Parts: sequence; structure tokens; C-alpha cells
Amino acid sequence: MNEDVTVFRRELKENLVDWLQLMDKTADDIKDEEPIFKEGLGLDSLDAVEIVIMMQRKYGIAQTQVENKREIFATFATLADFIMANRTK
Amino acid sequence: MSAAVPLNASRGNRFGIGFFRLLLHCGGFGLAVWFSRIVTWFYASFDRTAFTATAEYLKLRFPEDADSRRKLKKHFHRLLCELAKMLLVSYRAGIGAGLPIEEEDRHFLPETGGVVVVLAHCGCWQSSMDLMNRSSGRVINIMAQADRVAGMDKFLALKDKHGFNVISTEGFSGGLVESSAALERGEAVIIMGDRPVPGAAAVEVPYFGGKLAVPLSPWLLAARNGVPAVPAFTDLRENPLRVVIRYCRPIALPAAQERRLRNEELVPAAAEYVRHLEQFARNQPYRVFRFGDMPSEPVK
Repeated sequence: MNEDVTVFRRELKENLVDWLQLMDKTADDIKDEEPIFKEGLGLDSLDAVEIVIMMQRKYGIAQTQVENKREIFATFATLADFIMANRTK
Repeated sequence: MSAAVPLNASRGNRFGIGFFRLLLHCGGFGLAVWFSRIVTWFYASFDRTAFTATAEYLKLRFPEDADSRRKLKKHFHRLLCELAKMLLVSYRAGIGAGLPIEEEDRHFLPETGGVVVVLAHCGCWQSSMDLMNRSSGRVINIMAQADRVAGMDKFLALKDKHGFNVISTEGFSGGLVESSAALERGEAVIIMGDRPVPGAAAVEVPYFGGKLAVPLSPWLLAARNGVPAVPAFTDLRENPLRVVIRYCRPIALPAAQERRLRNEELVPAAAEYVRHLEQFARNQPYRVFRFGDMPSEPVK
């Protein structure tokens, strides 16, 4: 994994913890290959909306770019890769 | 009530629905309503599952009769009669069989842009989708469980079934990501606000001295996308007989933040909406069709 990816993933983890107000978690608790929802980070459907809004506000990704693309949200790594490839901010 | 076999998916069959459609066409609305009373008497007498699913609401709405099974059964029968009538009305309205559909306080809906329309399982709510589809000038999406779609297919005869999109509530986000994108595109999203789908984030708020679990998703979607959340109720009015979709003032929503909106920030919106539901149930107690669990212990 190159350094840019590592740095971006770190930044995204911190943004997720901050935006989702994950009080009992730190960026280090988010594992790259872990599922984001349910058994992974334990996020719910409302968090899914919040992540999409965060992607829009912080990275300039339109919501329409992610609808019907559930594979993006499979793990933290898939989410990070998608944002990195599509960000406009 | 079994979660695996939802009530509306397991009641009624193709033959029965076909029979009532034929009765409507040949005998008219009055005869169909009259005959439906025989069928509802059967359900009221023998369908214990449906009675149990309704009893919690009836106990809250009619606390003076809560200890009398006989009186609750009478309320249950009246409710089933109204349910049958509403389904016939929805079908008749859907096929354009001379039953006018009007809108009241439409100015609460924005002319353009996204909007969350919060419907409830009250009155002939199915009729409203057809009208909104024809009159709103924007794409209509409805969030629905698979069995609810089956229910709609059973009872509705919309002129253009493809006029609105169904967003499935199954999947990791319960359809919320797709709904949010639709709002961003300036479309309307209809959400049933009186009952959360299984597994969805919900909150219990006071309702007739008990509690009612309602979803948080309508309020989050509207707040996050900066669009209004407009409650809507569908009444059947007499003289002349007509369906009236009544829009309410948009519910006040929490301000946008650069962080997650906490569930407790959405509770006031949910509570305000439930006050609308209470008002509807006060005025039309037998036209509230929220079958299922509804804890009736008083709110502390």
C-alpha cells in the first residue's frame, strides 16, 4: 500500500470517528478489512446516511454516485478506495 | 404476531380480491361495502392473530374498554369494516371510477425540490400515492418492505404503476441511501411514519398515555438534505363522497451540523408527528390500521 493511501485512510478514519461521534472508538479501532455495518463497526442505517452526507460535504461526492452501490460500503477499505478515486475536494 | 408472515401478506387471496373487484364493477360501491361486512364479521370472529395485533391500539384508544374483551372485539369489528371500506375506496380511486380525489393545504408542499412526505397507515392512505404521482410534477418514491409492495399489488389498481418508484427497505441502509439520493435529485420520498420497519432506528414517544415506536428516518433524511418533512393524511369524506389528501405544516427539524445528528435531536420531530397521529385517531378511531406490537404500558 503506498503512502498516499495510508495517509488518506488514516484521515478518513479520523473523520468517521469525528462525524459519527463514535465516543467509544478511535481511528485505530477501525480495521481496513472489517465490515462497516452491523457486526463490524456496529453502525446502523441512519449512520449510512450520515456517511453519505459526510462524503458529500468533505469530499465533494454526490449522493447519486453511491446509490445502489452497496459494495462500496462492504468494508472500510472499499469505502476509502471509492472516496479516494472519486473525490473532488 | 409472527415477523416471518406479515399480516397483510397472509390475509386475502387472489380469488377474494377478484370477487370484490367484480362486485365493485357489477354491483357498485354500496353493495361491495355491504358484502365486505360479512367478510369482516368472519375475521372479527375468528382471526385471533389480527385481533391481538390490533388490541394494543384499541386498548390505548379506548381505555375505558381495555378490560373487556367483548367490547374490544366490537371495536375490532368496526375497525375491520372501515379497513375493508378503505381498501375498496383505494381500489375505486385507483381505477378512476368516478371517486374524486382532492388535496387540502397543498401549499405545505414545496413547488419544486425534494420533499419527504410522511404518510401513515390511516384512512385510505393508498389513494394518496396515485394523486401525488399525477399532480406533484416530480418523481415519487415510496420506501416499502417487500410484503408491503405485495399488499399494494393486491389492493391497488393504480392507473400507472410505474409512475412511482419503490425503494426497498431491505439491504444494509434500509433504502435510506437511495432515498437520500432521490431527495438530492429533487424528488419526493414517501415514508410511512407510524411504524418502523424491522431493524430500523426507532424511538418510542407518548401516544394516548402509552408509547408508540416510530421511525427516525423521515426526520433524519429531511434534516440532512435540507428539505421539508410534510405529514399527510388521507380522509374519506361524505356529501359528496370523495377522498381528501390533507397536508400538514412541515415538522420542525434540527439544524444541519458538521457531525452526526444524534437520535435524541430527532425525537422532538417524531413526537410532533405522533401528535398528528393522535389527532387523527381521536377524530377517526376506526381508520387507524397500524397492526402489530404497540406497548401499552404508561410512559414514565
